[in-house]
Amino acid sequence: MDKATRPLVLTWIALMALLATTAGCALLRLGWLNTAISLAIAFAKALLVAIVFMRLRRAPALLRLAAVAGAVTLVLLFGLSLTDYVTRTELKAPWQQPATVAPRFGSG
Amino acid sequence: MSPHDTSLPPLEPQFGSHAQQDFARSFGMWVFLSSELLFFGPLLFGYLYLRMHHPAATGMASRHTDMLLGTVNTAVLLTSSFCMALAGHAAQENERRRAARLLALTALLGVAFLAIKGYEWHQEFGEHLFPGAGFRPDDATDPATVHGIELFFLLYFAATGLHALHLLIGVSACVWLMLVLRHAPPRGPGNEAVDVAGLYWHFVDVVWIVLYPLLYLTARSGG
Repeated sequence: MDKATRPLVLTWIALMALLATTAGCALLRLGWLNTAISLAIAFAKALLVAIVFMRLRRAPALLRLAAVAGAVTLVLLFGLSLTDYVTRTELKAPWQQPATVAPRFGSG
Repeated sequence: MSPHDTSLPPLEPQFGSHAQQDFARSFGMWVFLSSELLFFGPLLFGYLYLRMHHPAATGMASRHTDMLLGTVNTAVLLTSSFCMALAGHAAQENERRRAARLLALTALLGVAFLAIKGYEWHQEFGEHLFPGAGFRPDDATDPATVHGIELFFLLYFAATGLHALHLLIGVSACVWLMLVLRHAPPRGPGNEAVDVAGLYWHFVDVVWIVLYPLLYLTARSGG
């Protein structure tokens, strides 16, 4: 293993270890921790790929900014959308199976 | 790319140097990838909505997916990204033949991923888990739960389908690059082309890294 490719090999080993950990933890009954662990590990894996494989570690600031801009915008849009969806009462969509919709007064 | 390299790709008139040209290409790809993230965003938000409004149905639906195949597929895709990173490194060292071989391996792993994914879809069709008139999960009868499970599978097929389409484009890019790398510039591409294609490939990998726990691991243990 030559010196320049060592970070790539180590990252691959780390990714495989994280995958084994997340799959193993998912089989344990941990309640809400299951979701927390699997999301934290997914975040760690995504960061490893972005920083080492996608070379953000040595990238100029402008590239890092372009990489982060999408993620920040996504978080903003999630936040703004949630203000709508968590405060609104759920309206039944017209294409739902009839049995899932309570009969409305006056409807045939 | 080092300045003493004899085989440089043509310098477009709007750039002052090859370094600037290479940077512009990487930057363009990163901007595109950021917009791609927002393209996948609504599917992720749909999942969040489903998880908030039908938590039990999401768990039941997630247990219908094949965790073993999903995990194997994640390993295949992570390994393909590793090969792609090695290919980018080989290209930077101007070892274009080695880069082409690694690209072939990357494409092969991508095809293996698609084959496994196709087999999973085939199984799910057989279990009547494709949303529509024939949707009949074998363990739920309560209409509200069936509705939640159906929404999950709507998202499942949309997200994995969109991801598979991206991977197919990535595989095509690998094969194309592998073929044109045999020619030295200006007929063939410069060495940085492998890195730019690699950025796209790694992004598709990151999307799968996020989809894997959401689709396969939710409430897998039943609680």
